[in-house]
Amino acid sequence: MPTISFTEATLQAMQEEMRRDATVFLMGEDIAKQGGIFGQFKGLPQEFGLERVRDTPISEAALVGAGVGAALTGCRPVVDMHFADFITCAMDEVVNQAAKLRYMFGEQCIVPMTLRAPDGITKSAGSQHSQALEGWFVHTPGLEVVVPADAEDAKGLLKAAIRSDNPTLYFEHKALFPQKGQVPDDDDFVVPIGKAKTMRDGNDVAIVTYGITVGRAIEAAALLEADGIGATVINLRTVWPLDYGAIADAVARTHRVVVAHEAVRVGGIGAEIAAFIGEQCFDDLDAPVVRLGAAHVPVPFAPVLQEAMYPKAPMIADAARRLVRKQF
Amino acid sequence: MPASVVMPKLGLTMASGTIARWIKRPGEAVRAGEPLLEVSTDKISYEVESPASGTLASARGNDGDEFACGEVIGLIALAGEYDVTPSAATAPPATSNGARLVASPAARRLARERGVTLRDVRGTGPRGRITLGDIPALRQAQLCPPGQDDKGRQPAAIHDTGGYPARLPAVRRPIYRKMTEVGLLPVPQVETVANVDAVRALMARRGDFGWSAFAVCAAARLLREHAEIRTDATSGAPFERIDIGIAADTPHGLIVPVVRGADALSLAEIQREIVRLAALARDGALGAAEIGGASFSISNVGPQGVERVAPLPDPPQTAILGIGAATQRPAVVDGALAVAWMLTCVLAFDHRFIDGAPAARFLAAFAHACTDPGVLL
Amino acid sequence: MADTLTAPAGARRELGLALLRTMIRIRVLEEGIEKHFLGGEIPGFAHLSIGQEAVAAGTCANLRRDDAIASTHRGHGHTLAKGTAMRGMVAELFARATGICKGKGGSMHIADFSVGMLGANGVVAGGFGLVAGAALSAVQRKTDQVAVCFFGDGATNRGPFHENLNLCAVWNLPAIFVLENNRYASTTSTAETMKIPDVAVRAAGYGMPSAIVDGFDAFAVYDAVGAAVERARAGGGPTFVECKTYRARGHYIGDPERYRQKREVADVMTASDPVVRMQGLLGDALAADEFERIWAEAREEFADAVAFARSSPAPQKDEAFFGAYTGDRVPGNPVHEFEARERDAFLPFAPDTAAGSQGSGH
Repeated sequence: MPTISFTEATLQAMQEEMRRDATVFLMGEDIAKQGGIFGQFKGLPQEFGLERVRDTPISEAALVGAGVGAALTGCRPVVDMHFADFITCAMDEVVNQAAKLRYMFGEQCIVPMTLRAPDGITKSAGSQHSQALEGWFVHTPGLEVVVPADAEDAKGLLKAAIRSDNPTLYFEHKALFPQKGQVPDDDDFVVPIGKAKTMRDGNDVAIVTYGITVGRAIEAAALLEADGIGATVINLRTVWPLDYGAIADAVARTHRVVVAHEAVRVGGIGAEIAAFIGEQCFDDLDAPVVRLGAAHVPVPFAPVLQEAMYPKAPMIADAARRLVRKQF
Repeated sequence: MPASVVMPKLGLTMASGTIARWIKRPGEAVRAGEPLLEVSTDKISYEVESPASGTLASARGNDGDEFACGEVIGLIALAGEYDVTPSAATAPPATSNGARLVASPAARRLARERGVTLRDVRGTGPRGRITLGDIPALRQAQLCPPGQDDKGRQPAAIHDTGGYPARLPAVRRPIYRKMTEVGLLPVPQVETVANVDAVRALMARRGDFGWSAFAVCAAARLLREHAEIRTDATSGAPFERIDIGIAADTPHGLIVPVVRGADALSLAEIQREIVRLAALARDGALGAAEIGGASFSISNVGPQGVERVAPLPDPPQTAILGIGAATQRPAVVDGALAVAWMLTCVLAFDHRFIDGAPAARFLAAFAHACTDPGVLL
Repeated sequence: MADTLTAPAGARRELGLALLRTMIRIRVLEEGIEKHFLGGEIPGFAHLSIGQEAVAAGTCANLRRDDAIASTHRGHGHTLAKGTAMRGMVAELFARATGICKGKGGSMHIADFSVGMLGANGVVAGGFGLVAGAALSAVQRKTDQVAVCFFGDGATNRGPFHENLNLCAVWNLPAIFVLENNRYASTTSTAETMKIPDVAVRAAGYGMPSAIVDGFDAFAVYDAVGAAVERARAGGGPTFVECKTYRARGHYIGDPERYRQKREVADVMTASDPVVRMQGLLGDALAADEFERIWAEAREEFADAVAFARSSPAPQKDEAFFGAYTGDRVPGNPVHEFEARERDAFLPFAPDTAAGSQGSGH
């Protein structure tokens, strides 16, 4: 199985899906000529032409709105937001249009649009270019939300998102682009939406997470292993629909859970997961459910400040360790 | 007297320190020198060690709280001081409607599955929470003799009563637990009615003993030979000493003071001892010397005017004698109907250790001593 | 009154009759909705387009079934003109299971994808993106379909208006922007909210050709939009058509209309009622009994639609929980299972609400 970067994995997904289905097209800012700021669209205009790979004006509302309109009328648009933070410039189009049309029109239409949104904290990009906003869209009925954790997820989930008939938000962490991983070299390799993956098995504590935090959780699990603590790491892959069954199984097995993500802890998806565990897995719990997420502040610029305010492996390991040692 | 844990003065200029983190939680055992908590000042972080071995009885403050140097921030209860009865170790202070048991949901479920009484479990989680790892494997009461296990805990009852009844007075909890266990034991009885005319005559003549003293004296003498009747359920062998407990009803409830070495005491000495014990009992002043460790007990309901009582043995004792009031009843004396003073005697015994025949022999001997008290003197 | 010499003949006459028929049907529908809303049979809000019928009729007469339109909260006329049956519309407003949106959309979200009607939109300016997208979709799929966006003067001050006009112009998309400038947004007149007398100048700002027409004259609308459609189909890009019109009723049913004089409404409608205007334009080409017949047929059609709606059941309560995601009606599908659990939690508490207005105004 080939080892490729996350960037390359998303590119393969685009190539394969655009070859497979002529109604798939791509639009966004700085895509065609630049090839995307992370190089994730390199070569696509050459293969598919500028009609199917379109640079747009800086008009997020039009870009997303047109994506919805095209999706309603027989196409499968992939709309790139440049940075997830700019979805805010098209909130009506995502929340009031894309998410609602199928339901409120009585299922007369589908909205098979994919919204790609590079997100997350990296390289002192500052508060308006570092957010993780998936929580807002999980909270909006009608949308699917996927968050790849590695190159395999990157390719499989993007293909699944494009093939899905529902409007799907695909949040790709900017710091993951260079990360390499093994990815099946198969046109039909798709990671199913709504199913989690167990990255690691352990009996003492479960770490339920998604996106870039999966890698941090795996690091944490290695730290815990040195202390004789076995951690299960669950990579949710999709945050809506949630794989509640996988979460429940992890709790039944370990009785102690840390839920972690890079997005702000307060009101984040970890809160939904923790509440579900408390409600539906109560008797399996030997300790309270612990959540980790970024502090409730905008992301600061200075590296020392930026690195202080979101959870990484040592903090995750510490929480898990303290759970096992009955300090919660 | 518990040992104090104080905020240390870690430097000449230090006036106060901040609790960074309690490492041990109340209810946890600690050894002298073991880290108890982390303290931080503006200069350093420091692990405070336990000044003594025992149980951390209290820990003040949460992470981030500041205390002046020298201020007491915790107490270590030394061995024997900390109340290790399960309800105290695991539950917050009792409220009027019964103490709340803190246990994790998983621990509760496992306890239910294993038939373990949560009240009997010591929790090692924060604030004494019972956690999964605290639930012991099932110990069946009828397979294992009731008594202290090696951790100083009462073993689990086979049937989980699910906690005490909400309005059971706390003082009845030990009896409640004990009777729940005893109720499962195979305890048959043998009964006889003794003619006590002769005892009454002796009582009238001497005036220095009562019915309890007589029963203690008679039973004690007989127990020398009828050693089986004083079997210790813990070991399966007879108790070496003949210490006899007498069930007493006091303002503080049922108490069983013990006449030590009753077989070596005269009837008069036994009577004086009983009087002394009764006075102490009334005053609530009975101590370890006077309570517990009996090899046999007697329950006398005569003072209440009731003719018969069939009591339950008090584990690890394996037999108990119940006597009622001596009353005039019709009797057959030398083939003719007469009126005689009769006493109903019941011996209840734990059939795991004592069979019916030895029980009957003992009771018969006791009844005989009633008709002919001279054998005791 | 037109004389026999200028009365339209042949195809033009047929067109005129067709436009008149559409406008009368819209008028009957809107007046009927007004009556039934005030009678308590229609929940939510309703926004009537009485006075604006010529724009809907004139525009849609140019369109094929597979051309797309996007509409506004004031969309009953556009929907009917595009080809949706009255029954489905009225049943939807009456919140019945037989409504064209299964009772889940209501007046502001009427849609009919079978005739390319991409929905009325409760968000002002919500349609621009959808039309830009539909036009882009035609280009991607290499068809000669066009997409028409209906909107009001209020929408032209919103961001998506500017972004999408610009995008369609620069990408040369087959979109037609039909402005129903009825002079008022909700309660603010155009004079208060823009510094220009004609919105069409904004199109010039994006390099888009435009036309300004008398929105009470269905022929004029037809001709202007027709030219725009031809241009778009031929690959000539988007056009902006500003129709000067007027709404005879308030912003919503129940609007106290404190922002304009009753006198103004009466004067405008007396001078410019588009139905009367077309009647005049047809002149002798329209017999009096034919005129009456058109009205009578429209009223019959509406009465039938009302009877249909009234005899239709309300949606089943568990319908509330399904339909947001494809596949969510399939047992075993995780989304279905999740929604089924939600349904089970809510149903015991779901009240039986009779269809009916829950109050007007917003």
